[in-house]
Amino acid sequence: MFKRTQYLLRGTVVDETPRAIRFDSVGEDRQERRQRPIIWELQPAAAAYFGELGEALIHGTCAGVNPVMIEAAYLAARPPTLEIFPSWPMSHLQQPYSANSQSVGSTDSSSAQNTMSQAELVSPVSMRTDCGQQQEVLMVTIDDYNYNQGLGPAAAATVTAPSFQQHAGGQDKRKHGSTRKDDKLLDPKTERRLAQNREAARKSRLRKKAYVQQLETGRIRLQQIEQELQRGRSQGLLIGGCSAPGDTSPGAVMFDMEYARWLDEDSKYMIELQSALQAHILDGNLGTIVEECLRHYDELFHLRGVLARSDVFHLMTGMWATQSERCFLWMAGFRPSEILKMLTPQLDPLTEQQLLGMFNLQQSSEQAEEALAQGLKQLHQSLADAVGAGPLNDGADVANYTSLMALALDRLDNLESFYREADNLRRQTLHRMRQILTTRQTARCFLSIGEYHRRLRALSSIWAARPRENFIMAENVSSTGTEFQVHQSQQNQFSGL
Amino acid sequence: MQYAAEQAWYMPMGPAAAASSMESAVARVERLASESAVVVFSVSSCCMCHAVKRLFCGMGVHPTVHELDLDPRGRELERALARLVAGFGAFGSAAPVVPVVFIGGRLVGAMDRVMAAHINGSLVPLLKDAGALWL
Repeated sequence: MFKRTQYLLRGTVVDETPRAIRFDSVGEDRQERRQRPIIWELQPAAAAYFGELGEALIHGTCAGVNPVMIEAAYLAARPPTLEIFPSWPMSHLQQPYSANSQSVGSTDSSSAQNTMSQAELVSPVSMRTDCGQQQEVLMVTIDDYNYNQGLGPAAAATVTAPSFQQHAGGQDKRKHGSTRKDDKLLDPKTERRLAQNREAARKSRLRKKAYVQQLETGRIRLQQIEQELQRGRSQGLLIGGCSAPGDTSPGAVMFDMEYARWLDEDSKYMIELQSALQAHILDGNLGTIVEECLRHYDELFHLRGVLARSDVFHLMTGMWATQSERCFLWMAGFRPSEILKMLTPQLDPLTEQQLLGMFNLQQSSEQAEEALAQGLKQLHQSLADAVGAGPLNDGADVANYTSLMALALDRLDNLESFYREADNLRRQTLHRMRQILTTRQTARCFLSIGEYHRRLRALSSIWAARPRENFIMAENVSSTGTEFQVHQSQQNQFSGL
Repeated sequence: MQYAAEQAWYMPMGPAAAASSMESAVARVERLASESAVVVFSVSSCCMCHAVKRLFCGMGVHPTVHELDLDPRGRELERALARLVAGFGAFGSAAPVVPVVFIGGRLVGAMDRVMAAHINGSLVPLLKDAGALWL
């Protein structure tokens, strides 16, 4: 957990100047380390990275102008998200601090003093560690950031207190440390002010950390979405381009994701089948693959059943499918008899029994399809009757309106059962096919079905990518154009439809 | 397709009528189911029942249809049917009970079972055995 957070925080540091505080370079050269005390000593404004930047900047400018100071002001002027906390060893801070303690009288260094004491908070920790100081510092402050942005200051104070104890071996040690150094200056008021400043600094650190984490998660999410999009495009599936505005029900979104994953696995199965058929492997092994394919289809029908229960309209309208697929949808899927018509000529060496079985299967599925279509037609009619009941142009009669809508809603519920029956029909057809045909023939069937749908999806993306300006020219082009070639080969497939 | 004349059951026929009204719903279901080769219990407004009827008509079968909503004792029959069908692994508890199909006095089930039987090729032999189909 710590390491990861460290990475995140380190990742956000951008080197803008040679004097940038680089967290990821553990082996900083001594020269830089030596240089920093100078900055600290002369420019207390630089220490404002612990807390409120603006206030420190103001005080910094009051202290006078010199080249080092300008540089520090530039450091101070950088966006707060980049400079979170120092990573240099704190031992040298003793010196500048004592130097500053002399000038406590001036008001402009009061805030600097407070910020310095904040540096003090971190320093006792780092001083105690021999090596990996940088990590220690980070770990200390990371502990602050283990809490959400929403924490109030009181909670943050109480919560960070034990965390400091965890790492630093007691917050009181710090307090001792600060009082030890500040014995001249610390009266209760100053102590209270210091504590308040510490809290303010902690709050701002928490906010910065939360912001950074939000950015990181957003970035990761964006990467994921881009990957999905790329994967989907390579398969010819148009994601995002085909979802209607009102189509973002959770069931629909989840189905789209699961369906994309199903398509991924489907393409893997197709490749497996292809290689298995070409390799002429044993029937037993091929049978296992075929059974897996069948199970895979069953899984799809199960997913569709879940979708039908949660959002039947998403299933019905075919918004999960590509545009060309949508044109050929029959009850939100493939039409079993059409698939059979397409497959039978490709399975040429069929025995008489198989031929009869396939013919009967085709006929019975046609009858079932017809029955379902008739039932659905009646459902549409009854739904239309329910919605159109009563006077339509009289001005809505509220009492009747609600009962009317309730009736229509009731009728709508029956939609789900029709789509489930249609899926049941498809599932039964596939299983029956498996029974009639040999393993090899069934494998070829699954391959054909998969390839057919893949081509249909590819057609969508090709159509979407066609050059529209050259439309007139393309018409005159001979059939060497790729779109036309694909179109013609698809037409042969569509002849059975 | 014949629609059983339900009102015939309510003509006062004396002791015979009293005896038939004492009959339990399940017994009545079974009696009705064995009266005809193909019996379909349905509801007049149900579209899935319409689909089942269309399926049988398309095959050339003429089932006897009992509309439960037109039967004064229809509710009991529906409950009895639900109990009978429940053991058959119906789709879901929220799904309506009807249509329920009996062939040759034996329960086949709801639409999903009927369709599965038809695709499997087991429906036609069943119908032929029950005498509902000749070819």
